[in-house]
Amino acid sequence: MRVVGWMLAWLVVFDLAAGFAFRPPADPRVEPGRLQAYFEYGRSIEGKLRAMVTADDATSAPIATTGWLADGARPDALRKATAADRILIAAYGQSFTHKMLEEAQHLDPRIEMRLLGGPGAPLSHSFKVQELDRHQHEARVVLVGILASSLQFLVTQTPMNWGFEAPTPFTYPRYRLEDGVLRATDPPITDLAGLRKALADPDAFREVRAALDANDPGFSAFLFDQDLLDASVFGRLARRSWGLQHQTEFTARYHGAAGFTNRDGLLDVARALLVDFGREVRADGRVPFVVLFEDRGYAGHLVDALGATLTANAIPFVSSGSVAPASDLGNFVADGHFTPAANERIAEAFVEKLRAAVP
Amino acid sequence: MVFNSLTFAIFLPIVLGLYYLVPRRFQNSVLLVAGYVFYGFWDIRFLYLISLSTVLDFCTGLMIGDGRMTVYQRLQPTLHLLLFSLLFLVFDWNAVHFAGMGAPRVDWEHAISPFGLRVFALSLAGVIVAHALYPWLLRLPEDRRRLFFLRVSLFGQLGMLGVFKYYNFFIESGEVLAQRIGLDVSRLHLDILLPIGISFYTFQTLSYVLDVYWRRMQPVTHLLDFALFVSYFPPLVAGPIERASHLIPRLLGERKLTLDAVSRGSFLILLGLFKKMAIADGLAGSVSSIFDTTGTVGSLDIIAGSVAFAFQVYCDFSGYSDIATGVSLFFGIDLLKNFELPYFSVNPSEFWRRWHISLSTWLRDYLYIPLGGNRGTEAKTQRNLMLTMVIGGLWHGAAWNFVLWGAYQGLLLAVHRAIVGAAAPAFDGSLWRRLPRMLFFFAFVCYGWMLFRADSLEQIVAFTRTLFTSFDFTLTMKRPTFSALLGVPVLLALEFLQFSARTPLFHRRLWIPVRGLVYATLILLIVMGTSNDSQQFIYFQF
Repeated sequence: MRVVGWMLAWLVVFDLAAGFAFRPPADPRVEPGRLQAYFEYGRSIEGKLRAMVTADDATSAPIATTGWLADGARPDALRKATAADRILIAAYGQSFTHKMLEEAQHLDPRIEMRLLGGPGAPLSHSFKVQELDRHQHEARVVLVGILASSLQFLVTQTPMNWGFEAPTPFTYPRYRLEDGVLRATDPPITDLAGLRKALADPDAFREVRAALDANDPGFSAFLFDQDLLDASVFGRLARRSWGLQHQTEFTARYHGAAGFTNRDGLLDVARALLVDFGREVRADGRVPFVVLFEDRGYAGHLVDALGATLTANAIPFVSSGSVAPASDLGNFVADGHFTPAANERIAEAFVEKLRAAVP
Repeated sequence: MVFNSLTFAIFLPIVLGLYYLVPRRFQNSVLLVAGYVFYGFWDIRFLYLISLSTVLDFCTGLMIGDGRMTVYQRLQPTLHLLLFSLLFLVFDWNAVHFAGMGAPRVDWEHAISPFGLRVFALSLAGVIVAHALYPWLLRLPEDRRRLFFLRVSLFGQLGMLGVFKYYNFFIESGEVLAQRIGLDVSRLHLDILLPIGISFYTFQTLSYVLDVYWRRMQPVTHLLDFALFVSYFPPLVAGPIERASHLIPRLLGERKLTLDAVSRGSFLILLGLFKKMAIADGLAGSVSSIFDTTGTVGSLDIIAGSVAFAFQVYCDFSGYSDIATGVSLFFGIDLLKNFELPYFSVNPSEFWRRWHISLSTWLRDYLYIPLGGNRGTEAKTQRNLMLTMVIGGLWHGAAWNFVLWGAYQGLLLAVHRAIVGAAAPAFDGSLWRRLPRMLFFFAFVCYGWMLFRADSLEQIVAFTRTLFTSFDFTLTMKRPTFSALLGVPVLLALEFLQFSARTPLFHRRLWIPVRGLVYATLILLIVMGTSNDSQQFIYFQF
């Protein structure tokens, strides 16, 4: 019995000591260390939102300020061409798209980029931002980058729930196909100011929560709601464990070893979005382009799911799998992005296809 | 149902509660039902297979040992087999739909499996033939009868193992050859599931029949006792491979739950969960980043990947054994020791006395010694060693890399024997004198693990060539998780303590606050390990 007592005492000491030693930086703009982040992964989404969103944008965590639809007309980056006869590309996607285009610009200095997106943004986000942005530029090419590991998040309204370990709070509509027509359910908030207001007003926050609960199959009250577990290192580790299991089960509903499933109309909606994307861009007199990024665990699955639709609608596309297969883990760095060499090969394939599409 | 799951965390207290609530004479029934629930959780159809295995060796054991069966002894297995085929094969449980806590809905249109009906018909035919032949078999001379039933058992058990585990492997291996002579054997492929743990319980029941045949033990006279020996759940799917002569007396004898057993069991469960969840699962991603890539891998990566796999496979497998032994202690039943600090070995002979002890002693007693062991010439001894290890390799899995791994282990043993001789004394130096030898031999162990983990012969060739011809010292292996990074030094510290103390109860010798610290550290690392991507126990596939 004495030994059990000592064991419990040590567990309390561990909890307090790790909580103190690895507490996150008070300033949300400061990147936490690895161990600090590790012991914070299991904090509730609400707890993390309250820590990252401060009184104004300038002092909030950078991750909280990106990807918002209300900022849709404000490009993240505009990179000028260094050669004459520029080809302006309006690109929508996530870091994979941005990194590939940066590399493409080195390969073809005529390329000029207008980049909009959000971390790990799914196709629904890119589609909506493209719609909001379509009259704001003179691009010859409109590009959407689709990341295999975020395709299934078309059925959600925010990356918060599926990326609960480090939630990015931006939002996007959830599209559904009704009688062959795309219908959008808009998210409860579309900018950081709206989130800040909701965090300060319990009723407004309850409404945001209820809307996410209704429209996001990845929503989990246990992961979302702030509670006593946030105060304990062991509590947070336990929540993280449960959350990862929840995340795995969520992903397994839409993706398995054989590829993507059409659960909740996932593939029907993705294909319909691409058809509408191609039609809208052509109606504006521009060239639509799609880059399919097949990341770890998704070898060949994205092109299997969407390749036929792109071909049938004459939308030029490049799949990373053809030059940097996801089955070769040497193509990836630790955080899941492509290595510079793999990125260069994807960019080469893209530039080659681009030159054919825009002579 | 796996040990490190919420389902098992609910299952175990229920079984324990029932076990200690019912009178002693019903305790084995509780354990038997628990074993079937535990095994049926993977695939309920597997229960027919375990019933077939049970019935076959129960009957052959009696016919070898006693030479006769009472009416009751013949009726029991008949009903057992037919009932199990009806319940778990003829009735298709996929037709039962559970919705929350309400009553299940049965889709009667799809409730009867045509395949199950065929198996039932075959089982019925088999039972009728067995009953019809029984009077004739009784009249056989004793030696012929004993040998006949031994062959029936070996043919039946190894036949099942062969069909479920090795059939497709041999078809695939012969495919290229067959194609050369214009034969298309692809249609001979069977679309079959590998029943989990089949190699473990097959070897366990084989040990029973062979022991009865060699008159080392009396046959079990009650079917339910024998069924419990086959399906006693803690070691059922990944060992230790129990010997009938060890487990059956414990299952039939008096059992008492003592504070000492609870304490030992709790520590073993804690240690096993720590090894599995914090280390093995925490290293799985790193190992996979080297062995599951289709790209090229540098020499440092291969070394790091093989060392990581050495820890992964050890923690995964010995973790299972620790938990199985710990859980079993809660029922008052001791299991065989399966591991004893294998990486402290300084030569292959010592390694096989410390690694998967229940398999190596099984192979020694039921294969190596019957082959002649070391009783003949040196050349014959070396042949027996090699044959035993190759079969031991093949026991692990139906793939050429396991055969190669077995051959490599056989070669290490043969070379070691050739160098130091048959009667070399065990190394008994101090830990610090042992350390350099341990590290030297560990390099050979790791090369073996590379053979074991490789997913093709091509990968083995490529990795071996890279190891010896290319010196690329960039490390791209995925970083292990924090639980593994912290867990490996903790494990090493515990094992050094155990080695120095020369007892698995080393932790009891620690000062109580330090002992509490050790347990708390293990709990912390297990909780950290719950976030690792949970992997199936590696040895389940065997």
